[in-house]
Amino acid sequence: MVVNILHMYPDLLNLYSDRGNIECMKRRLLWRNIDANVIELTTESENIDLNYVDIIFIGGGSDREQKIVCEKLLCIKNKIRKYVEDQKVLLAVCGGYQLLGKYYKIKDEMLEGLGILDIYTESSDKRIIGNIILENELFDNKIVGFENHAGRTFNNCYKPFGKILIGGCYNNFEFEGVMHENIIGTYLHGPLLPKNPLVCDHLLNKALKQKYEEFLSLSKLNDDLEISANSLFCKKFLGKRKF
Amino acid sequence: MLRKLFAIWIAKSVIFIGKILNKKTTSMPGVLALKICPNIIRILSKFIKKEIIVVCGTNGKTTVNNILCSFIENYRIDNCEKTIVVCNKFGANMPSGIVTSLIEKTNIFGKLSADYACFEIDEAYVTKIFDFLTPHVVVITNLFRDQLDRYGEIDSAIKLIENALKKVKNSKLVLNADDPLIAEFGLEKFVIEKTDENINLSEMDTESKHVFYSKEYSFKKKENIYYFGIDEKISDNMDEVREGRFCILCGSKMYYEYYHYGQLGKYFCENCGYKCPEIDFAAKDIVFGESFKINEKVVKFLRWGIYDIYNVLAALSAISVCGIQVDFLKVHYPFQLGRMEEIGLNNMRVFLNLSKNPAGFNQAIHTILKKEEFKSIIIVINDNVNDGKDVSWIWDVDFEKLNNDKICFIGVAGSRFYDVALRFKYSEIAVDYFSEDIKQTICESFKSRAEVCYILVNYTALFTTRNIILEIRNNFNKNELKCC
Repeated sequence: MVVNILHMYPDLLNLYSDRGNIECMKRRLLWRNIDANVIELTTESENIDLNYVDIIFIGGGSDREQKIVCEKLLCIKNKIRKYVEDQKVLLAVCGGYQLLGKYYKIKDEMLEGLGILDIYTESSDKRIIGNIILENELFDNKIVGFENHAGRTFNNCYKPFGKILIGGCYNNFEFEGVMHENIIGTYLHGPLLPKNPLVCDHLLNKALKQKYEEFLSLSKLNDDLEISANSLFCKKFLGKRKF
Repeated sequence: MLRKLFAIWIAKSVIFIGKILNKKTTSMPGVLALKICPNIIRILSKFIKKEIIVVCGTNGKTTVNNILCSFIENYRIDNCEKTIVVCNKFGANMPSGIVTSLIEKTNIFGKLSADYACFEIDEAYVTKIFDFLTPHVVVITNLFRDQLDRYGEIDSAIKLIENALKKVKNSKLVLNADDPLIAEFGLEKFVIEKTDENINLSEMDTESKHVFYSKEYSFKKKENIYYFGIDEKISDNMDEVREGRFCILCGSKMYYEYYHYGQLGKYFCENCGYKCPEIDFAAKDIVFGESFKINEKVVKFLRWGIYDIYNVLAALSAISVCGIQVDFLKVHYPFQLGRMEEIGLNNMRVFLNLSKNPAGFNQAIHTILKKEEFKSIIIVINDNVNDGKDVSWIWDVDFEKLNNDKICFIGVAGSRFYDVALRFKYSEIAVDYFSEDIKQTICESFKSRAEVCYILVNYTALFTTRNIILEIRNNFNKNELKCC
């Protein structure tokens, strides 16, 4: 079995160590003797055929870089739409998450999004910066990460990625992100996946099921280190929560 | 007036008490003085007889500032016996630290007598401080991603400095020409309109033809701008995460003749014409551990890092711009806490280095690997407020390079040791020991066959780790063979 992972515009959206997510997916496949093939779509890449892609990852960048990416993405908008309609896996973090929506309004400027999700984002003068912990009944462990964004994303249609336990401080939002079909959109950096191996395996599982009919489930890995990192993080920051 | 005196007395008493208690007081006196007399920086800085030099940028501020200070202190004005320099030597680079250093050189009657001042200033505070103090020379070293949780993004740091510079239009700027994010501060841009045929359309699918860059510029160096830079290829391209891959002016891809490290190098943008400007102070003929030349003048250079060249170069450029005549052969590296600081322990040599962002870490690793001996490496990462609460940047460090047969031990410690350990796990590099406990981790490293131990720490881990090493040394000296 092989999983093809597409990293979208790592040359532009490389803020915040998001490459750790790619590394995490890749290793967790290889450790289970499943081949992983990472493809980078850069601003210099020629045409890309998404038919061969099983997981797409889009990370975050500065507003300046995001504008450039936006132009590039709109060129392959239809391909990404088809990819999503085929029920394939897509993980979008921060800037990438914003671009999945209808638009991103930065002050007076409108950035047209891919319109894959019925969400929209508006920038605010106050950045939300800090540790964040979410809860999602799909996962036994809490989802931990770090957020740093000026945009406020409004999701009125889909299930959220998680209920906010700490974080998201200025907007009084109760929920964070989107989890719709095989798409996860979220503001969580950290990078997201290494400290949340269950989320990583959830995506890998979906991708493999989608691709191989005979695929049953992922084998178990020794995640002691990951779980310890996750638990210590929760202990440290949830302890300070005011109820 | 009374306010000022009161502020000075309070601050001086705190410094005095600190001395008795043997505690470093680099910022507390300033915090109090600023509360009592917010104008104190303006009042005291007026006493500086000659130049005020300010150093800004992500990495190297403290080193450049210390080299500057030690050079100027040794410079004899009109054969006078001593040149007095006000300097925030220990890197307390917020307003409080600047006030403390000014008050240290002020007498109880509120008179400050000093010839020069060198201040390093944190990017987030330059704008504010320039309201109170007008520097003659501003040095900008480089801009890297550092503490994104404080500045948001590197673009915000650029804006902070840009706004600050608007306030000091008459100051001389000493800029790093090799950093495309900085060199632009010294250039005036003139738009050349392009014709339609020249417009670069995206080569990808053209479902929608968005044209996002179409301008071309011609550039002219502004007045009072001085550039320093390294004018030869000195390093193999390192595969690391870089800022400024895209032109800061037009957004198209930036090309490089060569990289030194990070985004520093000989760059040019084919689309708008932005390129590394002509260098006024050019470093050439670099022999690590021996010497290099600045505009044909030989500089003694006993260090191994590329960043060391930039530090010396930035300081000597600023000194030349001030018109201070110094002997380049006598570059004196002032002792600095935790900057590849060597601490001898019995028959083990320990090097302690502050590395708080990917660029700094990658350079430290690069420098360490140049040495041939068997070594152990310990990484200590905390997430206290002064470190930045976010540690995701460790994924941008090229720890993969530590997969090297001369490295016999890797240890991880500090409050975010799990994050670092995970980072190594996903690079498939074995960590020999990890624990929050720094002392235990250092002691474990002594069990390996390493001859040298390199400890790379972030900001708040620096002093804790240093004290632990000194404690271990004391135990050794007392012949207590067991260190822990």
